[in-house]
Amino acid sequence: MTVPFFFQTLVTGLSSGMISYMMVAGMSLIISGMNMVNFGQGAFFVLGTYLTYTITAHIGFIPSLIIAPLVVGGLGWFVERAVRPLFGKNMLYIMLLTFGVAYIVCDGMIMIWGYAIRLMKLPSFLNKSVAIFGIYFPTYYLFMIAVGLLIAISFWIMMNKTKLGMMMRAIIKDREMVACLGINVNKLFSIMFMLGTGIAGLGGVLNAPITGMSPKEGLSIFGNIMPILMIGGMKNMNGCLPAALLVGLVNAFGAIYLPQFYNLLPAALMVICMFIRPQGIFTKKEAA
Amino acid sequence: MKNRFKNLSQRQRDLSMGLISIVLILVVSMVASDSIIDFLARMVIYMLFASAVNIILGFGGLRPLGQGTYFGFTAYAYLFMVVRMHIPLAAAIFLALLLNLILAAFVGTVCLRANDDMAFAFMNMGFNTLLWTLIQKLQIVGSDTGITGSVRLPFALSTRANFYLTFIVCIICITAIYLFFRSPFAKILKGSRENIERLTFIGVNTRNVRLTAYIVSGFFCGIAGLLYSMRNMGAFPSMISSGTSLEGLIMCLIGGMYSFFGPILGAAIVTFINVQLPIITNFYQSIFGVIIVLCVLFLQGGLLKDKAVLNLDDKKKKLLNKRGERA
Repeated sequence: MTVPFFFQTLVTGLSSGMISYMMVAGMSLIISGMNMVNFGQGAFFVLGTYLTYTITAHIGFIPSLIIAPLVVGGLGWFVERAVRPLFGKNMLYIMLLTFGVAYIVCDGMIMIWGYAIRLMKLPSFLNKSVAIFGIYFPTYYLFMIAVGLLIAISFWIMMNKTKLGMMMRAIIKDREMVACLGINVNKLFSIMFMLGTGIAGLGGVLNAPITGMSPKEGLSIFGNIMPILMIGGMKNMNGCLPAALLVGLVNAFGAIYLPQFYNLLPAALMVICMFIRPQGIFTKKEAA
Repeated sequence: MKNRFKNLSQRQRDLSMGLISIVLILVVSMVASDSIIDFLARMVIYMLFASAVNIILGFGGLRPLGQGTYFGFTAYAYLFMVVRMHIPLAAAIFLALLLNLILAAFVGTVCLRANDDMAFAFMNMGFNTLLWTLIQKLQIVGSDTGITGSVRLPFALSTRANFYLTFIVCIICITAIYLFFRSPFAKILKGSRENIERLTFIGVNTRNVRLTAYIVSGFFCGIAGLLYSMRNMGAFPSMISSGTSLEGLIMCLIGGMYSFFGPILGAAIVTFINVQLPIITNFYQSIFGVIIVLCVLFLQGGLLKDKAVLNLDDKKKKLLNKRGERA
């Protein structure tokens, strides 16, 4: 493997890791904050992709980066309202409800956009390659990494430095106490869920120019992000980014060395991680 | 009629319902054409699968998102041994079930290690996805197209004969599950669902209890998968996919997972929807999704409930009414 090729694979892996990070970040926020699993995350991801196709055709790619996540997040609000009466009951109900929602969203997409797998054209300033130290990289991949980092940093700042983030962290630790202090927990849940689905939608937007998506994929995509969730630690939001990047890199290099089995590597990695540390590799040990 | 049914004890109810459903299926199968018999075979197999899932779901109180693993794995093991390795049928059945048991024990041990409900659910699903991708990628098990071969038993080659064989095996297995539910072990299992701290406090090794239930569940799922592979004369990747696992959960949910006959009723309904809806409309998945959402929101106990649960509900209602009168 030559050096330029190595670096190009590195960038590919990192960019695909960033896309999965966006899905997992929302997912992990929902899991740790609301203690529920959103199976619809993949469907929202694909919805973001399809919205991009339509919006880009009419307005352009950059506006769709803002509009599509907002629309997807707005849809998340409805789902959250449907889930609300089920809190505190068997967790399975919420899982199956989000799964049913995913079914409906996927079929709705087929109704609107049809089965055909689409591709879209990038704006010309992203559709180039840049030479860094004599190695050529596609601009769009670098753009994806930049957006991903931006999201990760702003997410971290929001969680750790703002009042909203403070309340969210408090909810993760002790929900009843937060409710007792007179904070509107339901409203916070809505915001959390909308954030989670919106970030997934943004990931879908970024993914749109790279791989064609079919609406049916919304259901199976969950299998791809679950290993990341387990490797990063289920209820550990800080573990998402390293885990997603790790899986992205493993995927990129696996595609070169083990082309037949590269789909398998994340799941295998997850099983190995579960043997070593069941609570996730990037989880710090809790002080007793 | 209704009053008489109300007065029966739970055991008499189960017995009468079981007999009625057996007679109903038998009568339909006597007069039906081959295509309907094929559908009935699928329904009966899914009934066994759903009640096997319910061992760990409704009675164990865990959330198994990957029971399809055993459904598909046994079928694949059986087909692989018969078609690729030319092992005689009887030995292949035995070996496939044995391998399935070993797999269930292994996966169960790993999944229950974390002792966390959510982790268990996810690990289960993870193993399912792992096996699914593995099978889709491996050339030796036919990757996307699966393995096909003549794997029906020599005395049950026609559709009808194979259906009766399936039916008898399913009746035996479902009866075995029923006896399992009435055993003292199942009481402890229910205890682990209701209050696991208390059970641990009494001195029961709850992890072993759950592991045993998991293995039993996996074993019966495996038998269902074996029968399904005989019906289809092949093993296909869709059998091991997470769709199968979730179908099992949805069957239990619709039918009612806290009663014995709930999953069986649910399996009948879901199979009927799955087979009939795609004929009418292209968007059957969204209708299925709507059904799931409505069931989750308004029918949380499922269609069927045990007598004890019904009595409890009645008492609750009376209590609420009394309170209303006083106020």
